[in-house]
Amino acid sequence: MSEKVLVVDDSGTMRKIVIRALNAVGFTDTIEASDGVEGLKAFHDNSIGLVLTDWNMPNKSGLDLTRDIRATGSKVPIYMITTEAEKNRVVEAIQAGVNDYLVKPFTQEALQQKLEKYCVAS
Amino acid sequence: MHATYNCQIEEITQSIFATMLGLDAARAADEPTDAFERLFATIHISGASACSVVLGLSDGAARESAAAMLQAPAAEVTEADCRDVAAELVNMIGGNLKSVLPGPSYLSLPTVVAGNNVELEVAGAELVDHVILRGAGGPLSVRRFVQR
Repeated sequence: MSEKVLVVDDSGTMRKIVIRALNAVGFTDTIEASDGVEGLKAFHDNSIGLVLTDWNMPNKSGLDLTRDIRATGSKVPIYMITTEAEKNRVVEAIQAGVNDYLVKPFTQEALQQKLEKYCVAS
Repeated sequence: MHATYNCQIEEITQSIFATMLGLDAARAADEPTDAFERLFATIHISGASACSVVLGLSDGAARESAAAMLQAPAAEVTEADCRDVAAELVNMIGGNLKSVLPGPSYLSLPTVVAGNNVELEVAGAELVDHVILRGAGGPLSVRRFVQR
Protein backbone atom coordinates (compact mmCIF):
# COMPACT_ATOMS: atom_id res chain seq x y z
CA MET A 1 0.00 0.00 0.00
CA SER A 2 1.39 3.38 -0.98
CA GLU A 3 -0.60 5.53 1.47
CA LYS A 4 1.26 7.27 4.24
CA VAL A 5 -0.19 6.24 7.60
CA LEU A 6 -0.14 8.48 10.67
CA VAL A 7 0.07 6.57 13.98
CA VAL A 8 -0.73 8.69 17.05
CA ASP A 9 -0.26 7.24 20.54
CA ASP A 10 1.55 8.44 23.65
CA SER A 11 2.83 4.90 24.21
CA GLY A 12 5.86 4.03 22.12
CA THR A 13 5.05 0.37 22.71
CA MET A 14 1.56 0.74 21.26
CA ARG A 15 2.96 2.60 18.24
CA LYS A 16 5.34 -0.32 17.63
CA ILE A 17 2.48 -2.82 17.86
CA VAL A 18 0.32 -0.82 15.45
CA ILE A 19 3.18 -0.31 12.99
CA ARG A 20 3.98 -4.03 13.13
CA ALA A 21 0.37 -4.76 12.11
CA LEU A 22 0.53 -2.10 9.38
CA ASN A 23 3.71 -3.64 7.96
CA ALA A 24 2.12 -7.08 8.05
CA VAL A 25 -0.68 -5.95 5.74
CA GLY A 26 1.60 -4.01 3.42
CA PHE A 27 1.72 -0.44 4.76
CA THR A 28 5.38 0.52 4.95
CA ASP A 29 5.19 4.32 4.93
CA THR A 30 4.32 5.39 8.47
CA ILE A 31 4.72 8.52 10.58
CA GLU A 32 4.59 8.48 14.37
CA ALA A 33 3.27 11.14 16.75
CA SER A 34 3.07 10.95 20.53
CA ASP A 35 0.03 13.17 21.09
CA GLY A 36 -2.70 15.04 19.24
CA VAL A 37 -0.65 18.21 18.84
CA GLU A 38 2.21 16.36 17.13
CA GLY A 39 -0.36 14.34 15.21
CA LEU A 40 -2.11 17.41 13.84
CA LYS A 41 1.21 18.94 12.79
CA ALA A 42 2.20 15.71 11.05
CA PHE A 43 -1.19 15.65 9.33
CA HIS A 44 -0.70 19.18 7.99
CA ASP A 45 2.91 18.59 6.96
CA ASN A 46 2.29 15.35 5.04
CA SER A 47 -0.13 13.79 2.62
CA ILE A 48 -1.78 11.28 4.95
CA GLY A 49 -3.97 8.46 3.63
CA LEU A 50 -4.98 6.88 6.93
CA VAL A 51 -4.89 7.94 10.60
CA LEU A 52 -4.74 5.51 13.53
CA THR A 53 -5.06 7.27 16.86
CA ASP A 54 -5.35 6.59 20.56
CA TRP A 55 -8.00 8.52 22.53
CA ASN A 56 -6.42 9.44 25.88
CA MET A 57 -3.20 11.35 25.32
CA PRO A 58 -1.54 14.41 26.87
CA ASN A 59 -1.83 17.89 25.25
CA LYS A 60 -4.52 16.94 22.72
CA SER A 61 -6.72 13.85 22.80
CA GLY A 62 -7.46 11.62 19.84
CA LEU A 63 -11.03 12.90 19.90
CA ASP A 64 -9.90 16.52 19.56
CA LEU A 65 -7.39 15.51 16.90
CA THR A 66 -10.24 13.91 14.95
CA ARG A 67 -12.40 17.04 15.29
CA ASP A 68 -9.48 19.24 14.16
CA ILE A 69 -8.81 17.06 11.13
CA ARG A 70 -12.50 17.03 10.17
CA ALA A 71 -12.64 20.82 10.62
CA THR A 72 -10.19 21.09 7.71
CA GLY A 73 -12.72 19.33 5.49
CA SER A 74 -10.55 16.22 5.21
CA LYS A 75 -12.29 12.88 4.68
CA VAL A 76 -9.16 10.85 5.52
CA PRO A 77 -10.14 7.56 7.24
CA ILE A 78 -9.55 7.78 10.99
CA TYR A 79 -9.41 4.67 13.18
CA MET A 80 -9.56 5.03 16.95
CA ILE A 81 -7.67 2.44 19.02
CA THR A 82 -8.57 2.89 22.67
CA THR A 83 -9.62 1.45 26.02
CA GLU A 84 -12.78 3.58 25.93
CA ALA A 85 -15.32 0.80 25.48
CA GLU A 86 -18.63 2.29 26.65
CA LYS A 87 -21.32 2.72 24.00
CA ASN A 88 -21.69 6.46 24.62
CA ARG A 89 -17.94 6.96 24.11
CA VAL A 90 -18.02 5.03 20.84
CA VAL A 91 -20.96 7.17 19.68
CA GLU A 92 -19.03 10.31 20.70
CA ALA A 93 -16.06 9.20 18.61
CA ILE A 94 -18.20 8.38 15.58
CA GLN A 95 -19.96 11.74 15.86
CA ALA A 96 -16.56 13.45 15.95
CA GLY A 97 -15.69 11.81 12.65
CA VAL A 98 -14.00 8.52 13.50
CA ASN A 99 -14.61 5.90 10.80
CA ASP A 100 -13.78 2.76 12.76
CA TYR A 101 -13.03 1.79 16.32
CA LEU A 102 -10.94 -0.90 18.02
CA VAL A 103 -11.03 -1.49 21.78
CA LYS A 104 -7.90 -2.52 23.68
CA PRO A 105 -6.99 -5.24 24.42
CA PHE A 106 -6.97 -6.59 20.89
CA THR A 107 -5.18 -9.39 19.12
CA GLN A 108 -2.73 -8.64 16.35
CA GLU A 109 -5.13 -10.50 14.04
CA ALA A 110 -8.06 -8.24 14.99
CA LEU A 111 -6.03 -5.14 14.18
CA GLN A 112 -4.82 -6.61 10.90
CA GLN A 113 -8.42 -7.48 9.95
CA LYS A 114 -9.44 -3.86 10.49
CA LEU A 115 -6.56 -2.69 8.30
CA GLU A 116 -7.33 -5.26 5.60
CA LYS A 117 -10.94 -4.03 5.61
CA TYR A 118 -9.60 -0.57 4.86
CA CYS A 119 -7.40 -1.94 2.07
CA VAL A 120 -10.42 -3.58 0.42
CA ALA A 121 -12.58 -0.47 0.81
CA SER A 122 -9.95 1.77 -0.71
CA MET B 1 -19.29 0.00 52.27
CA HIS B 2 -18.02 -0.10 48.69
CA ALA B 3 -18.90 -2.81 46.18
CA THR B 4 -15.95 -5.01 45.36
CA TYR B 5 -14.80 -5.84 41.87
CA ASN B 6 -12.07 -8.40 42.56
CA CYS B 7 -13.49 -10.95 40.11
CA GLN B 8 -13.88 -8.40 37.32
CA ILE B 9 -10.37 -7.07 37.92
CA GLU B 10 -8.97 -10.59 37.78
CA GLU B 11 -10.86 -11.38 34.56
CA ILE B 12 -9.91 -8.10 32.90
CA THR B 13 -6.23 -8.45 33.81
CA GLN B 14 -6.09 -12.06 32.65
CA SER B 15 -7.83 -11.13 29.41
CA ILE B 16 -5.36 -8.32 28.73
CA PHE B 17 -2.37 -10.56 29.45
CA ALA B 18 -3.75 -13.33 27.22
CA THR B 19 -4.84 -11.08 24.36
CA MET B 20 -2.08 -8.49 24.18
CA LEU B 21 0.84 -10.48 25.58
CA GLY B 22 -0.06 -14.11 24.95
CA LEU B 23 0.69 -14.80 28.63
CA ASP B 24 -1.15 -16.60 31.40
CA ALA B 25 -1.65 -14.82 34.70
CA ALA B 26 -3.27 -17.15 37.22
CA ARG B 27 -4.55 -16.17 40.65
CA ALA B 28 -1.67 -16.71 43.08
CA ALA B 29 -2.27 -19.76 45.28
CA ASP B 30 -0.58 -18.07 48.22
CA GLU B 31 0.19 -14.40 48.74
CA PRO B 32 3.88 -13.47 48.62
CA THR B 33 5.02 -12.66 52.14
CA ASP B 34 7.31 -9.81 51.07
CA ALA B 35 6.56 -6.74 48.98
CA PHE B 36 7.51 -7.96 45.52
CA GLU B 37 6.54 -4.97 43.37
CA ARG B 38 9.26 -2.74 41.99
CA LEU B 39 7.18 -0.93 39.37
CA PHE B 40 3.83 0.70 40.06
CA ALA B 41 1.55 2.09 37.37
CA THR B 42 -1.46 4.12 38.49
CA ILE B 43 -4.51 5.48 36.73
CA HIS B 44 -7.42 7.42 38.15
CA ILE B 45 -11.08 7.14 37.25
CA SER B 46 -13.15 10.27 37.94
CA GLY B 47 -16.90 10.73 37.80
CA ALA B 48 -19.63 8.41 39.03
CA SER B 49 -17.21 5.62 39.99
CA ALA B 50 -14.20 7.62 41.15
CA CYS B 51 -11.32 5.37 42.16
CA SER B 52 -7.62 4.75 41.61
CA VAL B 53 -6.28 1.58 40.00
CA VAL B 54 -2.72 0.54 40.77
CA LEU B 55 -0.83 -2.17 38.91
CA GLY B 56 2.23 -3.49 40.75
CA LEU B 57 4.78 -5.55 38.85
CA SER B 58 7.67 -7.63 40.14
CA ASP B 59 10.90 -7.25 38.23
CA GLY B 60 10.28 -10.55 36.42
CA ALA B 61 6.67 -9.71 35.56
CA ALA B 62 7.68 -6.26 34.27
CA ARG B 63 10.38 -7.71 32.01
CA GLU B 64 8.23 -10.61 30.82
CA SER B 65 5.35 -8.25 29.99
CA ALA B 66 7.56 -5.79 28.14
CA ALA B 67 9.32 -8.56 26.21
CA ALA B 68 6.00 -10.13 25.21
CA MET B 69 4.41 -6.87 24.13
CA LEU B 70 7.46 -5.77 22.17
CA GLN B 71 8.15 -9.28 20.87
CA ALA B 72 11.75 -8.91 22.02
CA PRO B 73 14.04 -11.10 24.16
CA ALA B 74 13.69 -10.25 27.86
CA ALA B 75 17.42 -9.51 28.06
CA GLU B 76 17.02 -6.73 25.48
CA VAL B 77 14.14 -4.99 27.25
CA THR B 78 15.07 -1.63 28.80
CA GLU B 79 13.79 0.05 31.94
CA ALA B 80 11.98 2.59 29.73
CA ASP B 81 10.27 -0.27 27.88
CA CYS B 82 9.10 -1.74 31.20
CA ARG B 83 7.68 1.62 32.32
CA ASP B 84 5.92 2.23 29.01
CA VAL B 85 4.37 -1.24 28.99
CA ALA B 86 3.29 -0.91 32.64
CA ALA B 87 1.59 2.40 31.78
CA GLU B 88 -0.21 0.82 28.85
CA LEU B 89 -1.28 -2.18 30.91
CA VAL B 90 -2.81 -0.07 33.69
CA ASN B 91 -4.46 2.09 31.02
CA MET B 92 -6.14 -1.01 29.62
CA ILE B 93 -7.07 -2.37 33.07
CA GLY B 94 -8.52 1.00 34.12
CA GLY B 95 -10.32 1.53 30.83
CA ASN B 96 -11.92 -1.90 30.83
CA LEU B 97 -12.80 -1.67 34.52
CA LYS B 98 -14.42 1.72 33.91
CA SER B 99 -16.74 0.09 31.38
CA VAL B 100 -18.16 -2.28 34.04
CA LEU B 101 -18.46 0.36 36.78
CA PRO B 102 -21.48 2.66 37.01
CA GLY B 103 -20.91 5.67 34.77
CA PRO B 104 -20.35 8.16 33.41
CA SER B 105 -16.69 8.13 34.38
CA TYR B 106 -13.48 9.39 32.86
CA LEU B 107 -9.96 8.00 32.73
CA SER B 108 -6.80 9.94 33.59
CA LEU B 109 -3.41 9.45 32.01
CA PRO B 110 -1.26 6.81 33.73
CA THR B 111 1.63 7.50 36.09
CA VAL B 112 4.52 5.08 36.70
CA VAL B 113 6.74 4.90 39.79
CA ALA B 114 9.78 2.61 40.02
CA GLY B 115 11.52 1.60 43.23
CA ASN B 116 11.83 -1.01 45.93
CA ASN B 117 9.92 -0.94 49.21
CA VAL B 118 7.58 1.76 47.95
CA GLU B 119 4.79 2.40 50.44
CA LEU B 120 1.67 3.00 48.46
CA GLU B 121 -1.09 5.28 49.64
CA VAL B 122 -3.86 7.17 47.88
CA ALA B 123 -4.83 10.19 49.96
CA GLY B 124 -8.23 9.85 51.58
CA ALA B 125 -8.89 6.52 49.94
CA GLU B 126 -9.25 2.98 51.20
CA LEU B 127 -8.14 -0.23 49.57
CA VAL B 128 -11.25 -2.01 48.29
CA ASP B 129 -9.93 -4.57 45.82
CA HIS B 130 -6.60 -6.38 45.80
CA VAL B 131 -5.81 -9.15 43.32
CA ILE B 132 -2.48 -10.96 43.12
CA LEU B 133 -1.72 -12.93 39.98
CA ARG B 134 1.32 -14.92 39.01
CA GLY B 135 2.77 -15.20 35.51
CA ALA B 136 5.82 -17.10 34.33
CA GLY B 137 8.01 -14.05 35.01
CA GLY B 138 6.77 -13.45 38.55
CA PRO B 139 3.90 -12.01 40.56
CA LEU B 140 1.88 -8.90 39.86
CA SER B 141 -0.89 -7.14 41.73
CA VAL B 142 -3.86 -4.93 40.95
CA ARG B 143 -5.35 -2.72 43.65
CA ARG B 144 -8.38 -0.45 43.56
CA PHE B 145 -8.63 2.42 46.01
CA VAL B 146 -11.90 4.28 46.59
CA GLN B 147 -12.33 7.57 48.42
CA ARG B 148 -13.66 7.13 51.98
